[in-house]
Amino acid sequence: MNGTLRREPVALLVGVLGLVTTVLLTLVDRDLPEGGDVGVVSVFALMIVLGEWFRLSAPGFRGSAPIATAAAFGLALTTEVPAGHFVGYGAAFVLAVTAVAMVIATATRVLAGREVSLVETTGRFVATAVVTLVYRNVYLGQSPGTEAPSDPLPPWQRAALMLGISVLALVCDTLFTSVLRALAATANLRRTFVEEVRSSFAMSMAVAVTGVLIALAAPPMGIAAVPLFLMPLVLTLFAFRRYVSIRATYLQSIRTLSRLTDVAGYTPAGHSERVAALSVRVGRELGLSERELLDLEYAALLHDIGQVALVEPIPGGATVLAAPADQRRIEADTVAIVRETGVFDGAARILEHQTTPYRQVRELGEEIPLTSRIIKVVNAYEDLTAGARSARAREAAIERIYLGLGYEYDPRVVDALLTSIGNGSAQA
Amino acid sequence: MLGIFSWVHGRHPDLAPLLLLSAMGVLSFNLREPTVTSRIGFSFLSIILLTSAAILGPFGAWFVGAASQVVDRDGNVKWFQRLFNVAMNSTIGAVGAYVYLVMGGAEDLDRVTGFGELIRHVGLPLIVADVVQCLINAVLLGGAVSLFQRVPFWVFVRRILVSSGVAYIGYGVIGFLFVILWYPAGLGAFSALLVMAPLLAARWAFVQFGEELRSHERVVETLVTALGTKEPAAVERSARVAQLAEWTAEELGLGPRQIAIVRYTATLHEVGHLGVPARLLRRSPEAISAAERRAIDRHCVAGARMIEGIDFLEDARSGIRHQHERFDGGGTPDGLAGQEIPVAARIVAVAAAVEALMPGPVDVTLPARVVDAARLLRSDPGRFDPAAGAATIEALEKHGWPSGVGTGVTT
Repeated sequence: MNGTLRREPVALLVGVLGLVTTVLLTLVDRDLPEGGDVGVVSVFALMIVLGEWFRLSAPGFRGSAPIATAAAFGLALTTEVPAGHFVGYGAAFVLAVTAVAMVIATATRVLAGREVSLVETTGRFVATAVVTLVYRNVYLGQSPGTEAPSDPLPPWQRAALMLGISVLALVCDTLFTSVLRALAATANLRRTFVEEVRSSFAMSMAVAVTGVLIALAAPPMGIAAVPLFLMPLVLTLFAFRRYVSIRATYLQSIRTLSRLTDVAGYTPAGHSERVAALSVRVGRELGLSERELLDLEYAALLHDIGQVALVEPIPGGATVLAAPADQRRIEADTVAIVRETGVFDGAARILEHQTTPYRQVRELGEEIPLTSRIIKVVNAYEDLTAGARSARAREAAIERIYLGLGYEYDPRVVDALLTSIGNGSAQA
Repeated sequence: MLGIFSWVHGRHPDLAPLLLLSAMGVLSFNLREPTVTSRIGFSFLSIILLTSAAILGPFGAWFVGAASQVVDRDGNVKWFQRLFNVAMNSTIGAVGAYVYLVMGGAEDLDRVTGFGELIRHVGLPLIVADVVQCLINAVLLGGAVSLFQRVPFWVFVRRILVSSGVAYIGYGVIGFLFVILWYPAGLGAFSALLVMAPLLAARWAFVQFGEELRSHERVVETLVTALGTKEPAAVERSARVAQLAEWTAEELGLGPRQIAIVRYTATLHEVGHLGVPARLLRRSPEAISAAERRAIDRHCVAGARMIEGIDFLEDARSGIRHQHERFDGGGTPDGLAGQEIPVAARIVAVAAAVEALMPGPVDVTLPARVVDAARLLRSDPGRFDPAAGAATIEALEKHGWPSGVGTGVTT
């Protein structure tokens, strides 16, 4: 929680700095568009505002605004419009327009009570700044307040160049957000960066190419190129909604499955949910990545589903008290059911080892995922306390877990559990 | 035949774009989503065919459509399926190209300049060609499927158009963008590389349509598997009831959405058994007391409560809850009567009762079974919906006894 408070101001600072600088530069250099260019710029600005408004976010996904980013890249790269006319504004003006459009969209979202992410919005601004400065100032050598010079390259080479610049910009964006995220969480930078790239690669490519295509199609088509070439992205937005609803369906099915054993009377009410919540806290304590935490949560929610096959319920649904052979049979049934979904293989892999004693790691060198060890410990703790929250129930449970420390349970996980339940003193 | 005709009468395309677009066609076909549960393959071939219509003309589009299907890594496709695919895609390509020409589409794209002309001579003709191609695709697929799998023709056509029609036509805009990049923007063949990004985005979007259907199937299957670990016989029973219920729903002429609800209801109609003590389920029917019988019968209420919270099963819930209602109003749990009972519940009531007649593969001829089923439905006049009963008998006569395997088209 602390972290999110710390990184938002940094992003805000960068964003406001960018806004003020570019607006000032624009005014000082009189880097303003003339007559016909105003229409061109306002279409781009409108698309950026709309794109920011309809931004995408989903759990386990890097938030993005593909339409806004593509439109901003298009604005930065477009230098020629029909009839051989070159636009008369430069980098400072492009960035000022982008910044103002982003501020308008963000302010509207705040007023409408929707969530905003300053880190992500500022990241997009950083990316646009990289494209604009590299293409207009470094490559074309355009000076403020003058007409953009024409590009001597043949179309396909120009396309390749623009594409390269756009990809570079997107990498900068990811780097920017990763640094801020790494500042906030205890996670390390490299892993955050790799994860962010992986979760957004496909969408980023579509964005980069769309920005380039707008710039290339502007000379023959004029400003109509902007909405036309953004169209595939808009359609993809709908597909993304569908994707999110698919994820929601799976999530709902997990919740339903995790409740099945409650409804059928095999486990005490809310057992799976409690194990899931505590497992995630322990996992966070041990520095797992967001993706691993998601798998861990799903696995924890489903860890007892195999009990439905039992003829007679185990007393209290406490698998920790069942014979090892029975535990393994429940485990096998659980894994079979979870595998059937075909999408939660990550969770299934965790569940395959949820009953394996820790000693097999130490003595036989068997590879058991840390997440499986977490579920084993947390499940034992929940089974032993049986939902009771009193200090006595807690101490009794921990005492029993201590008996199996190093043999059944991973000491590192048990330590993390103690920290998570706010009982650090018991370690002594 | 169409190919020869368009070779003779149409223009002859340049070789380089022809090969390039054919290669993209092959690529798109091989990148298609493997069809596991749904029989409809999703690929961006449609966009390539549309582009070919403008850039290559009728013969070229015909050739691209045919060539895309020839190279196929999948060895399981039977020769007549492949032949059908070749015929279908080449027809779609050639007809699309003719529609483009009829609508005044430009053949020499180099000379088209300016926004207005581009829209009039390329954009509009392409949109019309796109819609026509989408319809041909749906009708040809529907025809083939209704021929081989006896799914009613219109049911299948509607299913395709409802599920992917909008996306098919919408993504046609990429074809237009492709043409613009190729000629007016002067990128030539390099545009193929750039346009791959939107094409792959389109493919991803098409995949989501399939994924959505598949996610529903998987969730239902998972629930059935959970039930199966407790009561193994229930899995096949559910599959047979689902098959019979789906046939019945088709006979009654329900829409694609309704049919899906009926199938989910039927597949999950016993999911509440998870909440019934296992010892009761394993006892033979004679040894169960009246009180225990009532406990078992409460499974439909429990089942409906179990799947609460899964959005797409929301409509199936009421079907599961009311499966033991009587048509004359004397049933449980709520005593609904006639049309108040959800149609899914009425169908599943009949299908489950008929299925229960024949446990296992007994060597009885189909006509004898149908007579038995008809007698069962008559034996208790107030219990079943007569319309659903009649439709079930018709379905049995048409399809035979449900086997529970290969439930046909499951989209």
